[in-house]
Amino acid sequence: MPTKIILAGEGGQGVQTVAKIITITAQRSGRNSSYLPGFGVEQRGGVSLAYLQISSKPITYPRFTKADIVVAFCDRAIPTIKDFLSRDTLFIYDSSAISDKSLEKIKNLVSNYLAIPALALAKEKLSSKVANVVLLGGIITHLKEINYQEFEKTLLEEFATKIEKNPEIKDLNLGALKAGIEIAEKFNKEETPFSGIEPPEIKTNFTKEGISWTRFPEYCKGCGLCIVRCPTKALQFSKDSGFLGNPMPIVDMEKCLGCKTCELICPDAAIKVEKTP
Amino acid sequence: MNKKMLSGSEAIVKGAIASGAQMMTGYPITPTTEIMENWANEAAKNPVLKFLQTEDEMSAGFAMMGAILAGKKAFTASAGPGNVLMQDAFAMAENMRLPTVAFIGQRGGPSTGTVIYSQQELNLTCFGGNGEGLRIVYSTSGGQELYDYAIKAFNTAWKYRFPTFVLTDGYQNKTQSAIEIYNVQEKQIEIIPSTPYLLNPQKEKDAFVNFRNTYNLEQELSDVLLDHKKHFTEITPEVVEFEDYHTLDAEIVIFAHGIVAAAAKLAVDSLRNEGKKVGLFRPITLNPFPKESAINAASKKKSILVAESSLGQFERMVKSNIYPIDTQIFTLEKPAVGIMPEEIIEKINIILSEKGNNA
Amino acid sequence: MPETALPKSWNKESKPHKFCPGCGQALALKILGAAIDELQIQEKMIYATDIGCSLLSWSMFDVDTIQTHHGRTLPLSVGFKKAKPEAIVLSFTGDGGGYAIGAQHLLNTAMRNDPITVILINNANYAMTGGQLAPTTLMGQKTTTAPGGRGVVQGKPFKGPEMLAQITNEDAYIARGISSNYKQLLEMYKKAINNQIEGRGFSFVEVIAMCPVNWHTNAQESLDFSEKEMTKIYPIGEIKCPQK
Repeated sequence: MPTKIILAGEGGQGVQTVAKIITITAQRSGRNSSYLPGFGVEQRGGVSLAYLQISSKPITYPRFTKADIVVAFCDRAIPTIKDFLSRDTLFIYDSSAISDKSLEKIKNLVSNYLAIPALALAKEKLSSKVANVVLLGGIITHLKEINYQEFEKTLLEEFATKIEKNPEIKDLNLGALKAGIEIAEKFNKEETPFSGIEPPEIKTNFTKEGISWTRFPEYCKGCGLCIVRCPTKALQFSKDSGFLGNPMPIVDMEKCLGCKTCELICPDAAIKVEKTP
Repeated sequence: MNKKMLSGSEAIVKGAIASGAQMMTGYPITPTTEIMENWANEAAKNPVLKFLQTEDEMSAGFAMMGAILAGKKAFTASAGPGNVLMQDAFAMAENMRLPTVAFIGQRGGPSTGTVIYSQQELNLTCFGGNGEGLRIVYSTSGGQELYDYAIKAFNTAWKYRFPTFVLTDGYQNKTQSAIEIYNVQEKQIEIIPSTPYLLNPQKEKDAFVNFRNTYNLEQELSDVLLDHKKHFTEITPEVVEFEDYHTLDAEIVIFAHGIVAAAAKLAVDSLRNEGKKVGLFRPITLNPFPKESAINAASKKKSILVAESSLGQFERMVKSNIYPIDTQIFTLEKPAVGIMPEEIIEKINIILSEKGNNA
Repeated sequence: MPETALPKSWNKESKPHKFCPGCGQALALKILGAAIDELQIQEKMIYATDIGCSLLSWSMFDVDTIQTHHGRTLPLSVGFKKAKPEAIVLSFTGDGGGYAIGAQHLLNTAMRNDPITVILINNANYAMTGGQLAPTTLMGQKTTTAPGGRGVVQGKPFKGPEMLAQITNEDAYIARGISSNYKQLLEMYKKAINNQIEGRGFSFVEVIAMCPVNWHTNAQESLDFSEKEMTKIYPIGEIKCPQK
């Protein structure tokens, strides 16, 4: 029987990259593998799915109904992956990105799980961009038949062009992979409850005399146009996450002129600047 | 009775107006150009009637749908390669359940083919586009029916909201004949009113329509299609029409549609005069197909003769609908040419003699 | 504290919208929302949209909307306008829909001076399908289907507004804006829509828009490519303006 894995996250979270790395590595290790990406019509922003299978025998049909491993990257993935859970499924999730409220909805369906605070760990020690590789570390811990070295090799090949541009990317990715493996190996579900996060309170409104500057995390996709456009460099990325889990801007009110440049350039209507009396 | 000498194309336009048609879009192509020209003349006399000659058939199809969304009873007419291009629009109408009406004048194909006559647009009209063929297709058999079914097509389209077609050909469109032009009220034909899909004045304030044909998930689209199919199946008994001509005691039943059925009828009359028990079953709606009636007509007969001006398009339709009846099927398939009554008579006589010889 | 920064005419249920981070098309649609708000035409207009990324805007507005087939938004809009001349008809399409698969429709709509307003996004590539060559791709620009960059075999970048200016009546409004210049684009939109409202005829605004995902650019690089490189070939400004 093939090992069936489904991955789900936001478009742009690196779901497909993880799927690709696992598939290629499995093939290299002499296994048969198959990977079907599942998108909506959007390039980014829709729930991104990947159906993966690894087997000793050739794989003929790319889809399946129940998965051996389900990996959830974000809150919005939960309704999508729900139907793939069975009693024997290992549910791997980002415990620093998925809320308790979402997990509550599938609590009765999950018996075996692995909680990895991928986004928090990546943000704190590496870069939020490698959160997906932290989860990859968690997944490969449960793919014993594939050699770890092979994963490392594929990972570096996948990012070769980017590494060439910026050599730091190599260590960031390898660090993320190792961090994921470390958590997964030490994980003991008796000690770690099936829980996620309480969505953090994000300060949205900043004021000074005459100016009110507001950001809307439910809309911000973290593109950074406001930051590069600000004439006084009053904006920079913060640790707070917006809609896709990307970092969102924060304002230094001392520098803010209230000129609305940030508001006007925002494609998501996630910033509002107002004159106050 | 008010009978007028009219061409089929003129009868179509008169029927469309009688049925409340308000706008036509189109691109000239033989043998449907005269429908456009007639409509353009009517529109020049009556400002209520609108007309748009577009740059191609895709544009004609989509402009028609734009007018329908605005609440007009709009229609188009096309043929052959134009019908091919127009499938782009009809697929959208099928997806979104828009009440389009199109008059298809079949001409020889594939490709540019010939310009007057054929029956080769059966597959395309009934099942064209990247969908399931949830369309209503009437196949007429002469001038009077072009008037009758022009009236009916708009009512059917607006009542059931499936793309509706009148499948005709150049023989029918171009033939001048005496056609009864009646008043729909006198015949007690109820005209179904049209309503706008967008900017409907009846809508609540702050309620907006976001209307689409693209879906994100496989299941989403599948659910929509299953729902469409359910409606199509529900309305099928109300919509199906056929003509049964002496099949009850017949030993051989001819299956034919459109103008070929008119030739077949003459053949039946002639053969019956000689005492030969021959009948005709003619589906008027090719889609949905009058399946039960066709099965009844074909059951317990010695044989069936399928006659068509195409290479088996109609035969496949008949076979798939009357399955699993094991009555022997003969065919008279003459792609892109008319079929004369004499040819049918000859074929029937051969079948009868072969049957006799074998017996 | 404000409740929202969304234009009033945006459909709140469908937000955040479906466009990528940093998308210039989304920005063009935000500015369009502002134009609809200022002109107060939400209840009097229809919004018709194409295939390509433009289809993602099928639920963008609290405005009666129809999403059509690739390239066919203009004919549908023309049919609607013919049937209901008092409606304000706004057609939204990409450079594929307008300059390639539906080019004959754009050409004939402009030639007939059909009184509709067309907004066309020029992001120098086919974005929805992942960044292929478009009529608007710059010379030398690499795409997934021109891996060596656009060369002579693919022809020169297509200048839509300049071509339309040649074939339209004097009372047509033709302009090219850029989504990173909010105020200028807003004015162009309003003039274009007013051209229709006031019964002058066809109006057209091409909008240069960033596509960071397919261009593989960060925020600064996206702005630079659109504002500095693209505008060299596609100059910003009003090409035909009957209200002057």
